Amino acid sequence: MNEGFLRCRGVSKRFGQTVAVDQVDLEVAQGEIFALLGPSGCGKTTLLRLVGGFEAPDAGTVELDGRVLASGSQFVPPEKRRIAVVFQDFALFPHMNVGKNVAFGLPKGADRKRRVAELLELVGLPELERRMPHELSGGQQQRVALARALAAEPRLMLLDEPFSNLDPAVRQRVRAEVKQLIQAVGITAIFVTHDQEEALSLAERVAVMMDGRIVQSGAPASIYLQPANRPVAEFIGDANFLPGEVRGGIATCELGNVRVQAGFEGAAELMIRAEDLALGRGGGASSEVVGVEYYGHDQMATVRSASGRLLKVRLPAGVHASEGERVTVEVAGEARAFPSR
Amino acid sequence: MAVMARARGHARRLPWATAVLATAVTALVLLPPVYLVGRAVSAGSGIEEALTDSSAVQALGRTLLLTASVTGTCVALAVPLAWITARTDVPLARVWTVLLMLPLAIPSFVGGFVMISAFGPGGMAQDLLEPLGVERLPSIYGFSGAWLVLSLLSYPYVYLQASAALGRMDGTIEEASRSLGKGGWTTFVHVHLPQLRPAVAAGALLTALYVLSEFGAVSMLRYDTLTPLIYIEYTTGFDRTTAAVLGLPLIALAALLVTVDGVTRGAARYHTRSGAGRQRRVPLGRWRWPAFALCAVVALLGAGVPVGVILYWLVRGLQSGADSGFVVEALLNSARAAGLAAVVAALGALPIALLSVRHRGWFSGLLEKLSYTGQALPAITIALALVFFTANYATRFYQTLGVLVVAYAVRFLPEALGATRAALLQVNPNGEEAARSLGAGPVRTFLRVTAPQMAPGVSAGMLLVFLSAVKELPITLLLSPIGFETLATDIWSSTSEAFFTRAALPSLILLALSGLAVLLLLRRERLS
Repeated sequence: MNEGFLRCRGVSKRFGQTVAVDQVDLEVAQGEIFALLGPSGCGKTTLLRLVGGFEAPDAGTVELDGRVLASGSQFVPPEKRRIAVVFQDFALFPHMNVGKNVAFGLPKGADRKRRVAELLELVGLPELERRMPHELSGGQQQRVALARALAAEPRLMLLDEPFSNLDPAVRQRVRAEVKQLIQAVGITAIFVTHDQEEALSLAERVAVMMDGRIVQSGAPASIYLQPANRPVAEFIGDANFLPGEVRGGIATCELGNVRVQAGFEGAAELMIRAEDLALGRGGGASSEVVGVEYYGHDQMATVRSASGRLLKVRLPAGVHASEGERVTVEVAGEARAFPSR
Repeated sequence: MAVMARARGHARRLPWATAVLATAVTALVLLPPVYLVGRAVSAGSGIEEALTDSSAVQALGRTLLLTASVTGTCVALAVPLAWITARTDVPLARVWTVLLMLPLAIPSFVGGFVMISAFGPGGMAQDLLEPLGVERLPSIYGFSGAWLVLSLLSYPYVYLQASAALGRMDGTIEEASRSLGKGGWTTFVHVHLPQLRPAVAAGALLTALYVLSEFGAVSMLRYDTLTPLIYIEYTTGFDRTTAAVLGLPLIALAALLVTVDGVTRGAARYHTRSGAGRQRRVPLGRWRWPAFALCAVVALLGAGVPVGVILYWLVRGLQSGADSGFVVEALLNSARAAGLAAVVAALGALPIALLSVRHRGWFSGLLEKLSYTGQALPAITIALALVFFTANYATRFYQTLGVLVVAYAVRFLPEALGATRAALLQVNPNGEEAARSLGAGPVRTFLRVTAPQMAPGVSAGMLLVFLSAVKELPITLLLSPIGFETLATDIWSSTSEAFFTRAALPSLILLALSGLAVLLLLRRERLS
């Protein structure tokens, strides 16, 4: 594997007074599926557009496979980058049928008919060559957009919120299909999303962006289990935060003594995931269930502790909890400690 | 994401080739007023002499009087009509909505022709009434005739704006007013009228600019405002500089109107929800039939009488076996000049539209605003400026079809620009970026992705320019090559010679063509 296949160094972009992308360093390996995750307006789409060549950086360099795409003196236009983009709205050409859409980016001299048929076969739409884009469902449009992007034989594929325009009922299935397809082709892919579940389930590596900066990047599990700071922990998953004091790997807080991930001593803000808490019904129950949302595969209880703090507790589907019930809150897993604010 | 999307238009670099083309087109649009002003100012002391000449002062006074009285009449007539047809239970409301719009399709010189040929000496009324012993009709020449014709032809500008605004208005506000115990009339005065102000102001501005620019009807009806005076000075005067100088007050008045409108419009913004609450039609009670009669009378005068008079002369001409072969040549000439103008205007509009839609910013915004100059300028000043300019600096083009086409294009560029902008706004910019990422350069992207999607809208804009140019009179009169007769110039010369049967057929053709333009405009209004 080639470690910095795509390499961004110190990339910045401002629009007027707003700094959209602020000194970002980013490395993506060849063949990797990479996610840029962050809340709306964090600059992730701008970063994608900088890589695609639709914006020029104010500072920093973008390189692909050792070739400079953008720097202070150089700027390679999008059509010369061999970086394909799949847009949120798929952006199929409405005046061309599916076959012509796919054929648009085929290199000169290719056996067009055969390549279009192959690509449509690859995305599982072999019979739709003559259809117009408006006659397709959202999922079909997306697969045509993927086939069209692959036709140009790009070295890198960028996907901008690729699943947000799909019906939630089919989103999960389409997601899995797209992942399989990208892996089968072996292309390097970067996608942008604000949906943590999407990023964690689809990508091999995730970068979390906030306020124009990349605050953490790594494997999905490390992002979830070892968030770099409180904002990341809040953005990804359901987390509870409590003040506490850490001594030798054990934190003391209002829920008692809790094991803490290594490497922190002193006054801390403890993060405990909702699934690491459990409810008990022993004596001296000083907390109260104030709300329960039942999801089927599990449920989320909101509990008011003795000190009045609201805690989120994820319960297995079979556990019975009802509003107003007196309970105790127990810590089942490890906490993560951040310096207290 | 929303933040980024907003920022996007500003962010991308200005494409230089497009910017240069757009600037060139805008410069061409600005050439007539700038040149005319320059030429007039360089006349030195002649300028004062020409402007203080008693006929010039009188003409300016008449222009102001006519503009003010017609605009006032139009507002007074159109606002009640709009309310009646849009918000009350008047019988046949939908029929009136269409019929009341029809005068838009009647070029002013056709209106003048209708007036003279119906009520003038040797006209239809005299023909019909003479056997009954009526020997003299009240004169239609002068202020009253011009005022009547122009009011009946231009009230639809206000009517269109006002009824569109009434249609957009939030019905729940009205219901709130009614629920607070206000009756239908009080609601109209206190709720509708204030909300209508911006729309009525916009309509009144269009009307006033129309009257300022008006040449055909006032000339035919011998009410010498500035435009006929300019034409007379131009055709008969020894020194053409006088004509140029007389153009100055016209340009100044147009600029003043547009500025006043811009300033006042900024102050008043009214919020209307899209998908506004359900609107209920107000029951008129015993006023139902008087309202019906008002609609009927205006529709009859504005649309029925012109069509009837034209048909009368057409039949008279057919009976007397007059030759109508000349119409074919006139039609072909009109079509050629207007067709070329449509192409030139569409090409000129393209770079400005591309810049203003895809690269929003102060520069593209300025170019877009300036390119609307032709619409506000009185047509005769554009024609005059180009006559002088070609006579002095481009003699090869003097009195050629090319200059005529350019003048049309300058005048009607805004129509092409509006349509092109609307078409471009419909094209998904992501599609263009997708094409770039698939290896297509900017030119190929435009030709294969953007242009095919814009084509229907741009053609509609071209059709509008074509139809407007066909019925343009003063530009055609001043700039046509010698011996180049069009439908408009034929009607003009036939009417001045009281040769009414000869003017009938070209008038009818023009009416049909501009009726088509009105239908197109209405459809676009509804779509947007």
